[in-house]
Amino acid sequence: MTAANPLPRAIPPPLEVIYAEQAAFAWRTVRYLGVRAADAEDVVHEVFIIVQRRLADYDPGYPMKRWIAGIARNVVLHYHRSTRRSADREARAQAPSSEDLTPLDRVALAEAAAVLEAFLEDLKPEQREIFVLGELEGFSSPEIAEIVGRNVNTVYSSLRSTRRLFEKAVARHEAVRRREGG
Amino acid sequence: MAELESQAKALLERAKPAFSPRPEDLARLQERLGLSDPPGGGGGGSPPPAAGLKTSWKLAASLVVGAVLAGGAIGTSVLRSDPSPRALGKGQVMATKPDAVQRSMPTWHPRPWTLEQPAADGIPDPLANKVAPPTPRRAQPTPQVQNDRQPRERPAEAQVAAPASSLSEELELITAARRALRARHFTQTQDLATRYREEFPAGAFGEEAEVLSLVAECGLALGPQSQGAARAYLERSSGRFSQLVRHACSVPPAARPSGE
Repeated sequence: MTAANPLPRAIPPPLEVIYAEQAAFAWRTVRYLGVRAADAEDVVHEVFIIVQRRLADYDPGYPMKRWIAGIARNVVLHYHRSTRRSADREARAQAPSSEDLTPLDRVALAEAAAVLEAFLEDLKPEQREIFVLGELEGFSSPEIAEIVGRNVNTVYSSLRSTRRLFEKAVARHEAVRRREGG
Repeated sequence: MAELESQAKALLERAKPAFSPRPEDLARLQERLGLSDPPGGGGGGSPPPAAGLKTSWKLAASLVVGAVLAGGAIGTSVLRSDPSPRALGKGQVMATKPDAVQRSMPTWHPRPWTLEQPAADGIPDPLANKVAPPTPRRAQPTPQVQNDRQPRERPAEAQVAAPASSLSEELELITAARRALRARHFTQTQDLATRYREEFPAGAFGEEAEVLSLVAECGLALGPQSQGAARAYLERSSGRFSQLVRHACSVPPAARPSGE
């Protein structure tokens, strides 16, 4: 009798709560992974539609953020596949309302965003995913390996080499800025 | 593992807001999804979530667990009937919660899931027709995720720029121009730079747009005409782009203004 009536699974949190906790993270992730600012809302919408659909299968013991990251990654892959033919791949950096920032902050933000944007764009898709999840969103290498379905050593290695590349890119940018400022 | 150098880390931090949603973005999306504000969250659907939100969820969860433990067999049916019939095994029948348990549930508890709703990717949900719809718990309408699947309406020119918001669109347009130049699509660069200057006459990247246009013109090898424009630029500007213009348009250093 008891065996036929197993204990109920833990209840996943309501979608409202998931949205409140994870929407900003999902948005950042899709943007870092190359979704244009103008498309971010549609893509994140898609992410949460899938979250809602799969919520019943969600194991509450599994970290929600990691689960969302996996969904966001798949949605972004689909997004890139469907927009690859678009000839005009524009910039993706988006800034918060300009009235929130001083002119100097605006310039600093715009510059930093442009450097990061250009750097991410030059990475291979896999490299980019790993760098975004590891460096920008703080996932550990084993977590990334699970999300992207790669060997953990590959993740370590990719993260290490991409970090060095990024440092070089930043150093180059700073050098140009100093030269131009001086 | 070796971490990023502080300079690189600082740049990432500076850039982060440019990739983050604005509160109004999240509020709009929340509305599109048909989600209400979570318990303890501030009005207007503006994330990030309040700290109390997690607490409320834990409190609610503990109430549910308490109800389960106290209610024994009743608890099982409570859990099964809430929040989603999709949590049920296939073929199981959903029980209606007893009133006493309903009263103990927090008022904000999850809405019934919308099984009638077509699956987002067009794949039919195998459980959709097998599980009875949940009994409404409260009189007020509950939010339903809206799978509109239609891209939200945008202005006709929304691909790159909309005059209403500034820096974001400016940056997109100017970066598109930069990219076009890097790809040696000079005509496209000029188009984008011109468009930038038309749409953002007092924009933050006005000088860069002018330079991009100039360099593209030189790239098109328009001869003396483009060199003349480059010289004119160099005469009035000795800023950060002068070297680039001089190099791209082959203007010899002698052409520099004497005061520089």
